Amino acid sequence: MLRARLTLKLPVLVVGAVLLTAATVAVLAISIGRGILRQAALEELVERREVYASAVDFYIGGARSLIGVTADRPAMKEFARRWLTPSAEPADPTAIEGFRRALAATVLQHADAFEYLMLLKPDGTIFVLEPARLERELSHRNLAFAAWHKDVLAAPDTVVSDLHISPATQRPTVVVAAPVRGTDGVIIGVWAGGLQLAKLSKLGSVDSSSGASRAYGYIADRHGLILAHQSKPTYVENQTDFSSVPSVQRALSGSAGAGQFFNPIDGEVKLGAYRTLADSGWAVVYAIPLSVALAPVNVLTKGILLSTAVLATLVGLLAFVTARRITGPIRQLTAAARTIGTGDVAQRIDVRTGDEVQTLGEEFNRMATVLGEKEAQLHRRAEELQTANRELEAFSYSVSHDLRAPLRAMDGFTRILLSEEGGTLSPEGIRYLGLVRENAGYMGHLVDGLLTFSRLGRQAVSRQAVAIEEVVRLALDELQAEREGRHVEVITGDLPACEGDPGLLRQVWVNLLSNAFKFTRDRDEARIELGCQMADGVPVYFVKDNGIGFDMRYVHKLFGVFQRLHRQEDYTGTGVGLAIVQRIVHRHGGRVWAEGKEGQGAAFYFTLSGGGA
Amino acid sequence: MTERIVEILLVEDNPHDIELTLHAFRKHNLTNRIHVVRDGAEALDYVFCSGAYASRKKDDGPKVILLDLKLPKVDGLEVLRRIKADMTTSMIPVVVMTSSREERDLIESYRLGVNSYIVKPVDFQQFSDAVQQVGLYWVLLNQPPAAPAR
Repeated sequence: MLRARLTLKLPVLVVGAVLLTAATVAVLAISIGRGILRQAALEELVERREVYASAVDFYIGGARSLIGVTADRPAMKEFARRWLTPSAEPADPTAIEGFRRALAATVLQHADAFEYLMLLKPDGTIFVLEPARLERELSHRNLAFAAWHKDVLAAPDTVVSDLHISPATQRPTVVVAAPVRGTDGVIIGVWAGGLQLAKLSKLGSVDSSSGASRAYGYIADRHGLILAHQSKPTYVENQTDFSSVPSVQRALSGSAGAGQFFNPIDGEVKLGAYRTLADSGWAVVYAIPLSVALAPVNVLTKGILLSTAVLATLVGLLAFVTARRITGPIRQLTAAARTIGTGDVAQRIDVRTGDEVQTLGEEFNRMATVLGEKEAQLHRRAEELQTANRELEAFSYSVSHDLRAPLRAMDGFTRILLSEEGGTLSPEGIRYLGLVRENAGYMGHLVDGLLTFSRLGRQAVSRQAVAIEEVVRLALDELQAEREGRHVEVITGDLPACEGDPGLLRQVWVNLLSNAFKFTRDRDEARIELGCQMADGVPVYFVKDNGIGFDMRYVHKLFGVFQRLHRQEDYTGTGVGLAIVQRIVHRHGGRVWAEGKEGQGAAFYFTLSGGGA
Repeated sequence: MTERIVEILLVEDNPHDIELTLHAFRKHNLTNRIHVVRDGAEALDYVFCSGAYASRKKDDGPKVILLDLKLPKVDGLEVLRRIKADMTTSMIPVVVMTSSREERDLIESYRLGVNSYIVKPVDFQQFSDAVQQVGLYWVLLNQPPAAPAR
């Protein structure tokens, strides 16, 4: 299964690169954009603050001028002198009515900036309140406690109060007041008007529903109370305290400027331009929520995000298609390799990408061709081998039956001759017949050895745990006859268990021990030592004897079939014993070798798996 | 008339083996009870009373069959299989004679239901052991054993 990683890796990599680049560009663009926008917004706010401040100055200045001018009118002075002095007579309703008509009502009629007007005695007692409908409640109320009243007594001309609740309307108001002076300059009355704050808020007010530009101005009095707010007039009615707003604080401390502030009242971050109104000491602020000021950046951000997404999708798609085109042939190769892996070497692939992958594909095809040839070769060899094996099997079967028949006849008839006609033969004749029988028997042994040897090449070798100690004990039991009547010292060392075919391994030990017994026959003190030693982590089993040994020059002949290093009349044997040992050891994947010295004994070593000395 | 009843059928192609076997049996005066056939086909004809032996009766024996494995035409294992597969002959004891102790012959013979197994050359001792094994000793020999079996 070809992992889809390559097909994904490339698109992911490319899309990642695009996103990274886009992110960098976006962050830079947004931060630069914000800087520019903020600067522009602050500059604009300063301008708008100035205009707003002028408008407020104009409005308040107009109100002051109106109050100042009317306070100085001869009719005002005459009325005050006549009716407000401590020594004055009780007021004549007709005169008051005339005053209302001539001054109070006329001012209200022409300047809607005022909600009401009032004339107070110097001691603060209300004398006339216009419109008259308010007067019933407030007649003769004394306003001497009001700060503006104290101010106006000390001031040369008009004063403007801070925000307070009007006793006349029970609503927040700001009072503009002027002293009324007699001919000697002594203050004989106070002329004051309560401003229509709702009108002031409407001054240049913004329609908050339009939202095109959410910048707005507001004014706070010297204590920070809002007395006009273009965006939220309710702040005025609620006498909202803006003394905690940084821009207001700075303006009230006398400085002018612009900056970014957090407004704790509505919890918004604003850009604001602020300064003090020289005339009243009020703070004027022109502000805009930061989010609104920077809204164009959001458009920019959206644009960047959208174009990045489109770009990343397109690039990712392109990369995916490219990756598919690269991995397509690789998939083909993988599938082909898998098919070949299952044994179908006829598999070929067709890649025409004109690049390294095509080269790989061509090499792959070449490899598959060679593999196919090799496999066919191998197949032929296997068949040849199988045929040879079958022939060999048939051959050895024939040998085992047919080669014996003549031997049987030789032996059988010789025996009959000896037993039934023996009396007519000379002793020499009887000896010759004995030799015939002996040779026939020897031939039988040779046939047996040959058959055993050839069978070993075909026989399957089982693999199981074999207790070598037990195998050796059985082999020694089997060879008991060869020790009969002799003194042989058998020293058995440590013999670890191993893996192998128990029957075949027993044959190895029988053959080696049989040789050891045979070739120590002439020793008075025959000694056979068997055991195991470790060499390179592999157990090496050995059988050593102090027998007649052999000449190391002929060691290469030792394991050959029918190879003998001794004369038949000295030591009987067919010459297949060691050949059988070697074949069994080789079938176990082991090695066998011998060391010896003529007249001084021999040592045989074998391993059962690779390695060994 | 009892002389005419064949007690032993010897199936063997090698003339020398036949002679050695008959020689071994001669001492015990059994040769006139032995009928020799030379190949597998003839053995089947004899046992199933067909071909050259069509006039023979199955009731006339044999009481035991000595069967070589390596035979011309039909080999010994096939003969054994046919005899043991037929209801009328499957009860006849068959003793296989073989040249070697080839394991596969031995296994296959026992699988087909052989009653005993003798390695050539067949001497009388081996034969009488085998006959004893198939339980026909007294019927066949009709005389006390010359020497007690080991």
